[in-house]
Amino acid sequence: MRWLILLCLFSTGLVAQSIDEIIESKVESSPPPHEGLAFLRRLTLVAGGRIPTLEEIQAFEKDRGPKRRERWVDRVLESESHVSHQYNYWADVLRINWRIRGNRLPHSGQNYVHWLKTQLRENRPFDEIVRALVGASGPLYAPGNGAVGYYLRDKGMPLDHMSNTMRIFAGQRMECAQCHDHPFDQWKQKDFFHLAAFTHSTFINRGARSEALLKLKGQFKGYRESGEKNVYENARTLRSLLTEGVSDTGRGVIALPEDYDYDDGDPGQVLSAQTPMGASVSVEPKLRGKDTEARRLRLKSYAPIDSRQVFAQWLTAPDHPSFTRVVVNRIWKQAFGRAITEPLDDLKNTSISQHPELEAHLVKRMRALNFDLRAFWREILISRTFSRQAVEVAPPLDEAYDFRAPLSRRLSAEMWWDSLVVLIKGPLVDRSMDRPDPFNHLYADLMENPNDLSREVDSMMDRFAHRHPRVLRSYAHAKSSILESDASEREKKELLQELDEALETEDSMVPKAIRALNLGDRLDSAGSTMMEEKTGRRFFRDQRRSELEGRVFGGHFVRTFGASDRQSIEGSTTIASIPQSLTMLNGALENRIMNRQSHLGQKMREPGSAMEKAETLFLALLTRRPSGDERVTIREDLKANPRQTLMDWLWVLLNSHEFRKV
Amino acid sequence: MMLLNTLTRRQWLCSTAGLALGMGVRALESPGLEAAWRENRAVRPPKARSVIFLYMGGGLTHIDTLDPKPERPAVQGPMEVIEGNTSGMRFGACLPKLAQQSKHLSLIRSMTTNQGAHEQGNYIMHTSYELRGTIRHPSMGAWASHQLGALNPELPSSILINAGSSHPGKGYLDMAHQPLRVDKPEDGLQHAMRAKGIDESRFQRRLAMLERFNSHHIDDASPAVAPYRETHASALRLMKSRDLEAFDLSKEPDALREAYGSNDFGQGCLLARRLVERKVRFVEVQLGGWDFHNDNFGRLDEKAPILDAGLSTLLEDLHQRGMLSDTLVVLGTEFGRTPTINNRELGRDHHPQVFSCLMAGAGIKGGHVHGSSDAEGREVDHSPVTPMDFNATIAHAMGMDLTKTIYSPSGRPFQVAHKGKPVMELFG
Repeated sequence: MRWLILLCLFSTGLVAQSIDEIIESKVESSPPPHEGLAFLRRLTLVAGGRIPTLEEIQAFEKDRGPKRRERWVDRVLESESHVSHQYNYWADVLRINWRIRGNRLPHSGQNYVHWLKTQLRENRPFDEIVRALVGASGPLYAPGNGAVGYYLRDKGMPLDHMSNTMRIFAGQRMECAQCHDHPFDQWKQKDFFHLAAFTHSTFINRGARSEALLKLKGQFKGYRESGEKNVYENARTLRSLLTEGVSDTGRGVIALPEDYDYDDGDPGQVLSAQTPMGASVSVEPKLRGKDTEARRLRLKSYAPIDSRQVFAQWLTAPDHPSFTRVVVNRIWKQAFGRAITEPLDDLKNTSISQHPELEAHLVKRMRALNFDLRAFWREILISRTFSRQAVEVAPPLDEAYDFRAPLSRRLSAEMWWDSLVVLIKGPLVDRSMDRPDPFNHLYADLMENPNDLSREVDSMMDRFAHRHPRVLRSYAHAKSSILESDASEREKKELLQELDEALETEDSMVPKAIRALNLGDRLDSAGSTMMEEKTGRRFFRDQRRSELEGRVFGGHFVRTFGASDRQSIEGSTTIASIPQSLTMLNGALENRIMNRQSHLGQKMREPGSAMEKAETLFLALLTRRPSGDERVTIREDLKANPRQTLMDWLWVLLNSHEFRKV
Repeated sequence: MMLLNTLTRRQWLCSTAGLALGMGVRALESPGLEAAWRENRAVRPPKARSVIFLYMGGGLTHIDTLDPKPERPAVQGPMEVIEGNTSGMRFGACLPKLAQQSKHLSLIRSMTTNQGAHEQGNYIMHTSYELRGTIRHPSMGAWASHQLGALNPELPSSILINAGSSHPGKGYLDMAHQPLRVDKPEDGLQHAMRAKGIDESRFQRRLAMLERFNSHHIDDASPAVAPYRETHASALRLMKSRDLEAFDLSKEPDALREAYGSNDFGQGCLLARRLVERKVRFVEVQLGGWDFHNDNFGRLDEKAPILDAGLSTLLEDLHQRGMLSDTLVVLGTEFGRTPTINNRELGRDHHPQVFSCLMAGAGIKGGHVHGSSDAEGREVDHSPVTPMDFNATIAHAMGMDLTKTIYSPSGRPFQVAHKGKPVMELFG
């Protein structure tokens, strides 16, 4: 009985200590742990991607119960901030774009974004997420099917897509083997092609029932040739809506390139899917119809045989040599500033683990937790080691680090921006506007009768054909707002009817008429949370990074501060630059933060002494109170210049070294 | 590191002293120097005082632009071919304005690289080294800044316009060599002036308060602190620079701005000219989105005119101002695109085996073609030029020492252009 209890203890509470024990057994002296607010700051930044709000600081200080640290770790991990922060991380790894290349719709990537955020919010096991991505198939606009965005992102480049998959999930760099045998690694070009065969014959742009769509080809051609711009534009929109997606499940075949130059194969030779490492898995391609020599050479002759699912199973199997190791390193790196094996996405036989015992332990834990990422995060965050004061300078990458404490880092661009948003929005920062693409409802309308798609398209075109494409868009948005709201079924029905009536009015008036419906106010009164956008409009540009998809271009704050343009995998940096310093010096951020609409601005207008207000500034920005010396200088500054001192101090804290450090 | 800094300063003195003594490009006319330069030894002052490097991200299709193959219709596809204004130089019809500038151009039709993926290809074109997980190598702008120093201490010596987030930048070199990024050329350098309502005395008071507050970080070597001490100081210096107006494109006539093209690339080229006018050493302007796996010809219709207007107007503008003689203009990309038009999507895929780049100005021959691809544009026919050779040519034109070894912080030895050989045939 006693050993059973011990066993239980081992499998639960004592595990976190295990991280500490493994690390401390190799370290002579460790920096002291952070207690109190300094811990709260690091925790909220590392796991929530932002500084704590004033309200959180207050609640944390009031919380005097035992196990406060564990409780706050859970609180941050279960918050929308954690979802947002992890979304930013994975969006950078997956290079997620708001608009899918070649698609007409302005936010065709929204379903993919929404899908990923939903998985993170629901804490779906990581191996399941990866299987859903790699095995994705079907239309992009079908409810809940956003995962096909994973293939659409790399439309037209199936070989690169496989390289990316192997790099981000298996930690193998195979790009070189796309064109020739890898010069330093074990990969042969033929290995790569065998592997790429699993996903290669994936047909995109035929999302919805392809046969029905083929019949529509003539219909769409008719619209195109009608010579009327609006008809043409609207037809293209509907076409994008119906066709975007992935059409089959993988045929497990590929042809060697025409310039194939090695003795182990011939140019144009058809290969079947086969894994080059780990468990040996292959598929048996199946010809459709007659078996002739000529048909064997055509990839299109083969039938879909679920080869992508087979590949996904292999990639995420518990005995895969590197799948678990990569994701463990990803999370460890986020928490400690460096992966245990660097670079984590280029694991060769010669890669050196800086701490093999720790890495083995974490891999074991990840498997034992069945890829529950939040539970895994928790074990790291409640460790004593995570709470220790940061080590300022990391040893060079080719020297081992013993991980005695997290490494000191600059805030990522997203953390920096989101922390400014905290000052402006306060607790509202965790309200997300995440939702699927409003066009899903139009898609649903068209698919109401999938056997007679042609008539559905015709009837939709009847209503919109001659109108400006803007009308179709406003309509989709308005309809989505109604259907996704909390209004009662009866209210929804009424609103939809009014919406349809608005559509009957004069052409140029339609968007206006839709606006005149005043959906925002009416849905609000119906208890809607969907119209958050309306109440939040004045803060619109001050949304968190994860809510700003599609509005982040060159020149935006987060790009200046090093956010990825999502063209290359993990393309972000935290390198200092002159434009960053100029932005902080002269960007007048302090005005935006101190104005009447901002949360901190309002706090600063509450009654209280100037010193109390200065304390509020310190807490809001640095998560600490001013020291004795700092109080003295603040007092002097206040005496010399009562009117401007608080504003100047806000500017100072924004520009301080301390603010950008985690 | 200390050593490198001193060297840079000394070299900077050398080069500025050279200018102050009135030794322009003409210095090269002295036979001794010319001979030394021909033997590919670094001499100063060199022919190219500045470089404008135009980078086409995604892989510029060589067959449709600089290396057409009309004799092979299956390869050429629907793209027409036009003659340049010098005999025998042919271009894809999507570059009509550039064709009119052929008297200034040396085309390199025998570029070849062993990197067929974007990230790797882009990296080696910028750094001459292969992408590695454990080190980041400097880009050419950073090399120029390091080896040659700034000609104008009021502005950064290397400036990067419209670049993606994964540009290698300064690599392992000091912060001082980090290229300054401009993300929206039309807006110039943002926040380079004091915020509205903040007068000089208040600004100074704030700076003093900040310094006092930061004083407990005085020895902090964290990556969140140490580099920002430098960028903070540089930012303050830049705010006082008399050359800030270089970033203000509204000082240019509307007609000229329009000729460059009302887009980030065109305006970036114009900004590059204004910066080079003020002796910035190295300006890179990027135009991305050439990765035409689908709809190659449809997308060329949109993309090529942007390149055509920007590059041609830049050449003409530099020429008219007499700046082309000491400004090297370079067009680079990571690889070409397949001669085979994939019949599924009418696109062209990555093709590292052979592709095309060009150079102009700073003593580069005009109306010249270097090397060639085979009849279908699949392989190099003769005189291959690698990314290392390509960068060595730029480095040599600028007067950098190709043999000089410097060491990364971890003690690894590196040379500019990684032992590439400059293509001497390009120089007239």
